[in-house]
Amino acid sequence: MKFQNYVTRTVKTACFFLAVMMSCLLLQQYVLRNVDHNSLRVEGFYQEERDSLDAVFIGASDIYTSFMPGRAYEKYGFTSYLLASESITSEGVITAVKEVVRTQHPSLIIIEANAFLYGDSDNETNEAHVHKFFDNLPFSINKLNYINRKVPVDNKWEYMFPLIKYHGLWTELPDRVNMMQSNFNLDLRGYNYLKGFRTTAKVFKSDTPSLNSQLPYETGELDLDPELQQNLFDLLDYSKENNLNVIFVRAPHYVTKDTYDRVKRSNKMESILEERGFDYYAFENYSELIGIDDSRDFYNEDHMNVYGAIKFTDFLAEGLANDDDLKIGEQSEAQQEMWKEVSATTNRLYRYCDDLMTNGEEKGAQEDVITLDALENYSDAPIER
Amino acid sequence: MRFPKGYAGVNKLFASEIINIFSSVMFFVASVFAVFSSQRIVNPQYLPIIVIPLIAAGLMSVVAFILQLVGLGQAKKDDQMFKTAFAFVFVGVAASVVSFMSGGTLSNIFSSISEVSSLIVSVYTILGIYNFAEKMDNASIMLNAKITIIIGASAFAVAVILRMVPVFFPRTEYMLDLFVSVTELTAYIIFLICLGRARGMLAEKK
Repeated sequence: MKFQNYVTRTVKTACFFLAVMMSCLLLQQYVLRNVDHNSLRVEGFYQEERDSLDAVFIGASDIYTSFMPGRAYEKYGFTSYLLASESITSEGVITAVKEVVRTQHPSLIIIEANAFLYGDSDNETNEAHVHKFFDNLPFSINKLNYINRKVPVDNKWEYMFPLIKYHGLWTELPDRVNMMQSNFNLDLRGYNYLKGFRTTAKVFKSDTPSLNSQLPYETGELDLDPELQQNLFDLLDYSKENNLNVIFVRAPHYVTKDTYDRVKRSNKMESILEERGFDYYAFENYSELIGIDDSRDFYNEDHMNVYGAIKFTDFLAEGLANDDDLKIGEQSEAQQEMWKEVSATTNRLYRYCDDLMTNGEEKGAQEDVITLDALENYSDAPIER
Repeated sequence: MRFPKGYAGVNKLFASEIINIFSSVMFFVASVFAVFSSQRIVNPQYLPIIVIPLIAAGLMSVVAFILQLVGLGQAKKDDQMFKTAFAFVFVGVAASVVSFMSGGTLSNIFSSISEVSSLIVSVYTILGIYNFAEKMDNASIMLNAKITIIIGASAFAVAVILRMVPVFFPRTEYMLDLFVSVTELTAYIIFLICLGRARGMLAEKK
């Protein structure tokens, strides 16, 4: 009986350790975790079928509030995803590009320039912003590289195992149930409905005048922060080495005196990119051409609401569809069905936000159970502009 | 016959595995025909040669699963190890269903539980055979069972380790999957041989 006892004891011990490990994984993934719209967006990217995306957008909130993948698919037939995170760092952008190469092979990668336009490199060490992106990445060589190079020794373990940092969140559980359920539903469903798009139903009214009309004539440049510039060079070198079709964009903003320096840094970035053979479309400088109405199309100085987003999406998507570099891949029936649902949800979201703004209500709208429930009352017919 | 229920159970388990092999072959045939016909203009005459093997494979899988359950149910009356194996069959099925119907991390977690359950079913089945062999003083089958468990557990461990490699070396999973498949196939063949020899041993009128 000795051999049997040995085997059964080994199996029981192994099962015990496996049960502990699975419990920790489940807790880390669904309960003791800082789940927000960034988590749902980044995780949703990894649930896309391998090599199924024609284009991937990378950047910060500027891009995930401006471009509607569902609308782009409905009108131009190409699939896309917003692999973006709130105030993503420039290192985060580089890691995101590497993750896109690792998991998808889109014919186009579009990078919103925000991460490189800060006046200093403080954002690179802003823990909240770094965590918002990196906590949601699966274990990979790219994530490990970043942790190894950039994270202080004392904090490395909490980046490898976020449960170490967030184990205390159980005290906030009742308030987090909505996002926990959204996270769980995402995994049950296997894809997200908005492909990363998020908005706020609000029309920004400000006494501070917008300077957008001046931007087409602004040729002044301000140097980029040295660290951010170096990261930009590293990104460009990586893109060239891997033959990536990368284009850079700058989404429209409500530019004021306080944020004017960013425009000049954007001009500088344009010069750098042109020198190195990359395309840069500073749509911020030509928002009137796109049809952006400063008095209606923003929900704050940095982000457009759905009125602005639909205009920007139509403009940019049409440009991309006419770009020879964009190759539209074949889709299975199941994928076509999924994307029809994505377009329908996007249309419902537009109407929902329009309804809220017409009634003077302000509300965030994203891929969570509360918003998705509210959308059921709205039509999914295409939005005619 | 010393263990009539044990014999009946192991016999059915062996039959279940053989039917599973035929089911896999049918599925492979259907896949090959599907790939072959997809390269031509769609023609309804190709449909039966894909659909029939697919249906046959599905039916055989169901029959094999039922035989496995019945076999373990019978064998557990002669040895307790089969009782544990029997329980873990249901754990594995439940985990597979959750894994299939979900995505992301949830799916991965339950897929792992399903694989571990499958391994435990095999280990406890072989332990049951080891017990029979010990009671019948058959040192050869005892040794065979020991080797089967060690190789099976090792193949599983190798598969787990190799699945972590693509984290560090992207796009190597296809090559490693092939290596893992060969390892697991070897372990499976050894398992099948042990099951077959146990049938013979239990059939002896002693």
